[in-house]
Amino acid sequence: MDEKEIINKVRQCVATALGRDEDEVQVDKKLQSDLEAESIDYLDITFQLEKTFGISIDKDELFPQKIFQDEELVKNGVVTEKGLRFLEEKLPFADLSGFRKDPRMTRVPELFTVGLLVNYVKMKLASS
Amino acid sequence: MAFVFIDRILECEAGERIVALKALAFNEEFLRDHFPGMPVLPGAMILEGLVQAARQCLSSRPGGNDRWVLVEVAQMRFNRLVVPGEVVRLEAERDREEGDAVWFRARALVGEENVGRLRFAVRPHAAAGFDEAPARA
Amino acid sequence: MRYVLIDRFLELEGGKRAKAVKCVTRGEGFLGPSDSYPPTLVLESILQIGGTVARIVATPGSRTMLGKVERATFPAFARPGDRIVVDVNVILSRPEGTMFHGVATVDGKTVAEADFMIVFLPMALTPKEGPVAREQRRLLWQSLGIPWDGQ
Repeated sequence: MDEKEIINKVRQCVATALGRDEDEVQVDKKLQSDLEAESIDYLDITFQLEKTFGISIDKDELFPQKIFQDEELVKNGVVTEKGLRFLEEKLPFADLSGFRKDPRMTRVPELFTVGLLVNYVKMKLASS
Repeated sequence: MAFVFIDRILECEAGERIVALKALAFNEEFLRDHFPGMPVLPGAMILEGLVQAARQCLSSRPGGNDRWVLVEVAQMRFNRLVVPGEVVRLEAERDREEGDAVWFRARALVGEENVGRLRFAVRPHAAAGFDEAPARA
Repeated sequence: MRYVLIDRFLELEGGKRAKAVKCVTRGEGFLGPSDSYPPTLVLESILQIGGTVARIVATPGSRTMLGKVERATFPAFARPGDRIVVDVNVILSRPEGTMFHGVATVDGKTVAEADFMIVFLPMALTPKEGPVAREQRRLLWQSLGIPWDGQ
């Protein structure tokens, strides 16, 4: 499957899960703030991706709950250097370059874009 | 006991939009089964309230009939449980028509908090009796 | 109005599928205009059956709840005297929840069809099922023909 096909299929999955038109689901869109995804939607997106790409997604692998359990990972609402390395490890498919410039914990949801899902799927398909 | 899932109409623009309330009381019999020890307003009954509100919205049109039945639901999702002691605000707005079916965009809130969102379509019930819902256009 | 909208399970495979019945009768007292049986109650029967299929294989103590109805259609009415037969199948299952497809028929004619998701609520969010509620559930499951192995 080439990149273009993956992107289109991922966009279709998100559109189906969120009940939106595919046009609205562009690669740069943030799931929560742009597409208004709510908790149930993350589960639906996971189902759609599993079904469409035949991959198996472990619990918390794509949308981890409570990422920062350790208090050394976040100080005063800002993700520490240790926290950033932890994020890199937990979300190897995420693009942290923008986040590093302003690593407030409240900005973590902004990492979850349609593009992140595309990277995740590429990673999973490459390793299978 | 009546099968009524709206308590009051707050706003009604005939045929266009309706806002209604459903207050949830501990005494409501269905809560004993849903669930024992944890009373929660069933999502299907939030839907029922919205259908009943839409029925009133459409029947208040001049010459409007009040015999509308639910034929389809799309993307009904819930984010929050509603418990006794809370009042749910049900909002439905006409979205579009498809043949003789009318689609509504709807949501339910408790205060400012979003309880759920959905879209649904209703269709006029054929004349009296137990006629089948007309085949979809 | 009681809210157990299943009368009996005919077939049940936890985590996989089920076939159950719901009779429509004036005796229940919740018919709509012209004695129509509300489609939302047919939907609820489908959802409750799915919930049971999920609950049987869920971690003991977890709560199953409706997460989402992707789509539901109601092509025909059910009416008093009807015996609705509901078939529910698991499409996909995950630790967080399960996707289902359900069809309700009366004499082979479809009265409702739905694609829906049942979610498992984390135990921290909901009150634990106490011994009295558990016993109530045991009695209920026994009446509905659901095998009990102490879950």
